[in-house]
Amino acid sequence: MFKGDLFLEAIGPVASAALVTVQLTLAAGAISLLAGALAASAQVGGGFFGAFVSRAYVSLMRGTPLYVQLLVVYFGLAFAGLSGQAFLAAALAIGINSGAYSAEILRGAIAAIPPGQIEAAQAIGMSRWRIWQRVVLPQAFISSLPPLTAELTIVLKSTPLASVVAVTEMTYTGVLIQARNFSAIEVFAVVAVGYIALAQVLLRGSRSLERRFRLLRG
Amino acid sequence: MIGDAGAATPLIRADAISKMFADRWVVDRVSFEVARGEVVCVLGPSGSGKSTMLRCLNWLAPPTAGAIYLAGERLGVHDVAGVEKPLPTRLVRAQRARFGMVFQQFNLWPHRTALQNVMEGLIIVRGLARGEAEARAEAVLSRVGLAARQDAYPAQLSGGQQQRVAIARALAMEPEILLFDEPTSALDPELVGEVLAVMRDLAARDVTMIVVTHEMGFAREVADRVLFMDEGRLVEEAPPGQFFSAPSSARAQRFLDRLLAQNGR
Repeated sequence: MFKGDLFLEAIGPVASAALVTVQLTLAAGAISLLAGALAASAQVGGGFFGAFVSRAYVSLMRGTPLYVQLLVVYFGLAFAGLSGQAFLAAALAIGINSGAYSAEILRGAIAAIPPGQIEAAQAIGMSRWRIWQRVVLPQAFISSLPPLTAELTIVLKSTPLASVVAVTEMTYTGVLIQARNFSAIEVFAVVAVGYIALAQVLLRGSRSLERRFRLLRG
Repeated sequence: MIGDAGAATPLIRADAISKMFADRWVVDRVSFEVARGEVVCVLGPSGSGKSTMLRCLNWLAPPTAGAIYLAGERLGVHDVAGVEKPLPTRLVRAQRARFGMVFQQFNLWPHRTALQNVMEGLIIVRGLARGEAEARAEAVLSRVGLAARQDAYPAQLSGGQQQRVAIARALAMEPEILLFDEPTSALDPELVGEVLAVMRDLAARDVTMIVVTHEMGFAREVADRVLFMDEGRLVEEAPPGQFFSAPSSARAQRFLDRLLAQNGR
């Protein structure tokens, strides 16, 4: 039987844990974007060595389970003297993992930028770095907004893995409540609704950004 | 301006420049000079190497051989203990910034407004403060008749307007010479006029220009001199009156006949 009171009781704690989930998603998303931009840049303009390192990173991230990556980062941090940094480890692991996918998205967008725009920047004397920063990357981000948002929802849905290292985000909070009052269905229904709500916020935010940027696409 | 020997030094001197692409000489030993304030139109059939020659001048396509001098200064190469070495990229960029270039496809940056397109180089390359850059960009945009559209994004502008913004972007950098690479070829016929009008205005103000074009009317009317290229070579060099009425080479004659047959001009 579905017990309404257990469902209602779970809402408060799960909602406050949603804050952790949001923080984790944003931190991992930012790391993903940064790692993705770096890796895509290295692959397109980093020469032989840069492209090699970048490709190795992408295949390593795509070829191993995120679960394992998280454990490696968590114990790696502990080994480096940062023990017990569960949130940091989870944000890093999820972010770096997702960065490999962001890199592939951005690489495609960079390749689609008309070379004439880069020439126009060269013609007025801009340096390679400035062209990258002012012409290439902003446009790559704008045109990859839809796939990057999709990637961010994947990041959101990867955050429950952080429970492995005892980050009390939404899912782990649900597990803890369920262990206390054996209310699996009720509690995880709340948790599921929480993820749906957060994903909706992401999608809507991305749509409004996309509308704002529609004009800017050549 | 090292090596500037005064008014007698041509602004541009190209000395047997050649460019090879995939085992083919696209530009083949082209030599010419352009004086300060001169308007030179480069004509020729498509594939004759006109655009590549133009891109050699500002080192977007570094020439395979030959030498180019801007106001007496050798471009792209310097002397290191008696040996010619490629110039460091920072210095190549500084030399390139002395040219302005206008492209066939406009090449505006779509994520920036007209005003921002013009300001970009002033801020990033020239290091101007934002306010100063904005004032200068506004002035240049109004010079090409687009003061009212300064906040529009390229996608909101017609082709002719985009090309005028591109001209403003080049002009704002106060180049010593403007290079035009078929500036009206991508435009609908009814939009060509507004771009040519801006270019006429620049010519009247003694802006030095090299214009690769298929607009024979413009060349005849505005150019001080016409260069005719075919198969990578500079075949003929003459004042427009002489070139259009009595070209001295058979190839130029054929080129003009074909144009005449095409559009009755």
